[in-house]
Amino acid sequence: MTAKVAHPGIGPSWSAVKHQTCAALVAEGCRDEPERPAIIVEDGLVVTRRELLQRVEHFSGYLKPRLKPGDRVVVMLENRVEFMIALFALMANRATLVSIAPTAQVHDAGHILKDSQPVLAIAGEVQSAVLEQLRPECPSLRDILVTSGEEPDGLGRYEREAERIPLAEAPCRRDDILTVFYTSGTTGAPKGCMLDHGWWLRVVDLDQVLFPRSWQDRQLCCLPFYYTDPAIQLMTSLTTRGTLIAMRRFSVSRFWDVVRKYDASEMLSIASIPALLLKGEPGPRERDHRMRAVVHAGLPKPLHRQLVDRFGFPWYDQYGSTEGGIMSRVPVDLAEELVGSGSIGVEPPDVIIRVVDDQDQDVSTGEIGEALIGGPDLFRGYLNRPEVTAEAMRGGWYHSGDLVRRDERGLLYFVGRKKDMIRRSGENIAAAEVEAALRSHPKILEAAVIPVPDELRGEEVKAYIQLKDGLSRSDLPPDQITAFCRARLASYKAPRYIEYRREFELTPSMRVQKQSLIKEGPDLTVNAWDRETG
Amino acid sequence: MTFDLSRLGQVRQTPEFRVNTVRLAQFAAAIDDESPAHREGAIASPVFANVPPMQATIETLRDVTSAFAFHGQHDFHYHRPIRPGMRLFCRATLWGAVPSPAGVSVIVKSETRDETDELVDEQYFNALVAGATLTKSVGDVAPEHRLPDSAKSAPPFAQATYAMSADQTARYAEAARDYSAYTLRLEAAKTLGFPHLLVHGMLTLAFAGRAVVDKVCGGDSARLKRLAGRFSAPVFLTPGQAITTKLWALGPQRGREAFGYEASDAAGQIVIKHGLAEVAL
Repeated sequence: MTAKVAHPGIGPSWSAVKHQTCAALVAEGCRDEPERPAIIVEDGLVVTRRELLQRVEHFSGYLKPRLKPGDRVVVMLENRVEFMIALFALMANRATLVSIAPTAQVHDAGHILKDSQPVLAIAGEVQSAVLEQLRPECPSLRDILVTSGEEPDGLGRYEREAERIPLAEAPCRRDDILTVFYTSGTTGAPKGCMLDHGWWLRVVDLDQVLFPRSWQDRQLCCLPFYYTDPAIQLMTSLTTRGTLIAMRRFSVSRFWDVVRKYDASEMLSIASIPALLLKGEPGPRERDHRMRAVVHAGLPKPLHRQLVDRFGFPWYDQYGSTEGGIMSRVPVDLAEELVGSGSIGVEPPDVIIRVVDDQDQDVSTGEIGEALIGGPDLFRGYLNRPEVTAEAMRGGWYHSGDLVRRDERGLLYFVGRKKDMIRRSGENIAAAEVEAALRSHPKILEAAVIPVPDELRGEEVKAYIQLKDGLSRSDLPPDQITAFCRARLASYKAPRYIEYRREFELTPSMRVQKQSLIKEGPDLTVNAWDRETG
Repeated sequence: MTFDLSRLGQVRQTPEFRVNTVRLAQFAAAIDDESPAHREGAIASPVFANVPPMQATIETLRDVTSAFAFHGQHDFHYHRPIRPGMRLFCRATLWGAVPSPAGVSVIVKSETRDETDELVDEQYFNALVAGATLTKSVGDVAPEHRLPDSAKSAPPFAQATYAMSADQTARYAEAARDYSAYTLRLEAAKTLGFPHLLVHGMLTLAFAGRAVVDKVCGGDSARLKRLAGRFSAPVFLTPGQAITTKLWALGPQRGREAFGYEASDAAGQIVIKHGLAEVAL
């Protein structure tokens, strides 16, 4: 038996967070050290815990006569401190924050407005113009509160109207829906993912259990506030006597200056941030900082070693989602060993990931299957979509739609999205599975597999191949590629069509932009090698 | 008031503390340290050594009592200076407790080591818990650092006066991450019965440390092997506040040059007594 990997020397669930509501957590985190900054924004704005709490409690007082429990309030703001003030003040009133990207326009904002039926909106000046246009379609919306003036006083004229309501005494409950974030699945319109206090407390607890922080640590936030992550980072900071360092938006040119000036010791990274940092001009600043950890969701394998060696701190790959919270992370003691492996680690305490086939039956070690997530305090369903929620939660497990595999040590590897499928002669073929097989060839750098229409079989498998530097088609002819696949996969999964590429267009998350491949022409079999004709 | 010594001998640790030039330079700027090496962040001002283990030390004290405790004494033993690129790991131990007429003096010992497990410094932190009672001493004591009156009968070997600015405690709070409310907000200081903002004890000691490095280490803080002092009166951030440090040569001790010192505030009140600095020859 191979020893199973576990997170080393960590406490059990709920060893970091004891609170029953986020209101209690925030109130205590602000009360204990009122003069310590809660948030420092990259342009120099400092908001202490005392000021944050004072503003939250006044704005909460303003909202009180205007909201009843369960009311939804749209918040559409850029990275401004008022976002966090609004979140905590809504929470105190047992209302729900519905997050809309500040860049949204009438189409995407309209969908969320119509779906969530908010009674109030809190928006910046630019965003409020978009919301005003949509008012006729959203009769529930009574008022739009517009932030104006100097941050963090953007809601000051409302705050000054009202008496403070102590956050510590807020009547909220653990199962109140605190937030709704719209997630775009692979199909259909975005769905509003409902998260209660339990979800938030659980994520804040796990994040600390997995990575203990000191009073000298400061988390850098370079993600948009309308995501879940910045508020998680703020709550984690508040409970560990830390400070959140917030960038207005991610910028490579400002990055190391912000890290050094405000003394960031860790950050949360997504999408193209690693690739962009590696494109930055090398210099001594990128080694003279106090950063000791980055947690990243979906780290590009080929960049991992460069990131660690060049910047001098570990990058921990994590698997997380709005629905499931923190589902898996690389253990701190294995970070160096797993650099470049593509592993997303193992589950934190009390999370269970099953890897299953289409019948929800567990697959064998090493086989690819869908990740089902079990554990306490998952999301509370999709707003107004009971049937979609029931489908996603069938059998009591959250069906992530992600394909993963688990090795003999229990380590998980992300493979791809399940919806990325080819349907050939009635068989479902996961593009990710074929791509993983292709990428395991020593001469192949990157591969993308897509369906092409076929009269006989419905769809056929087409593979685009990028060979490693200096290699050409004669080094790895197409028939060798199909033979390689057939030795590793059921033969129906081996690509029929193969085309070679020097490079791929990539998505912001550094994956091959398959949609642009599909849109290249009406018949994608032209110019491709065909297994049946040679 | 809780007072619990049951964790005597137990250890608390803090996560890794990485050192870079900016943080060291910020600290030096916050104490108006004019040493070029400190201002550039090439080497830490001596009192910066308090920053990495501060959390483990305070949490160890809080294991004993949640009551307000006066920082009574501090004693740094330096093994090597803190420089950029170091990765520091700190442990604090509840070391001992000694009864006194005013309460109980609680001693916490901390150790800072680098990534190769080499000792960087050891510190004895001593806090007075007023009103607590204890029949006899428990655990270990901290090393002595007494400045006999006989030594002070000679004229000082050197002295230096450094002025405090109106934002000195705010700058120090940010540089050390010590945001004690009574150092930053007048109403918080008044709640505790103080008429003005209180100056962090470590900030006062940092001013004395500047005098020590400037006057008896030839500006080279790497030569400083020990810096100890007893906080004898609170320092308030009043207009015109300044710290005067007087140093007396005590001659060679344990292969080092020893100096006794006292620090006083602008009103002439002695605020650090029984100061001791040991300097490599």
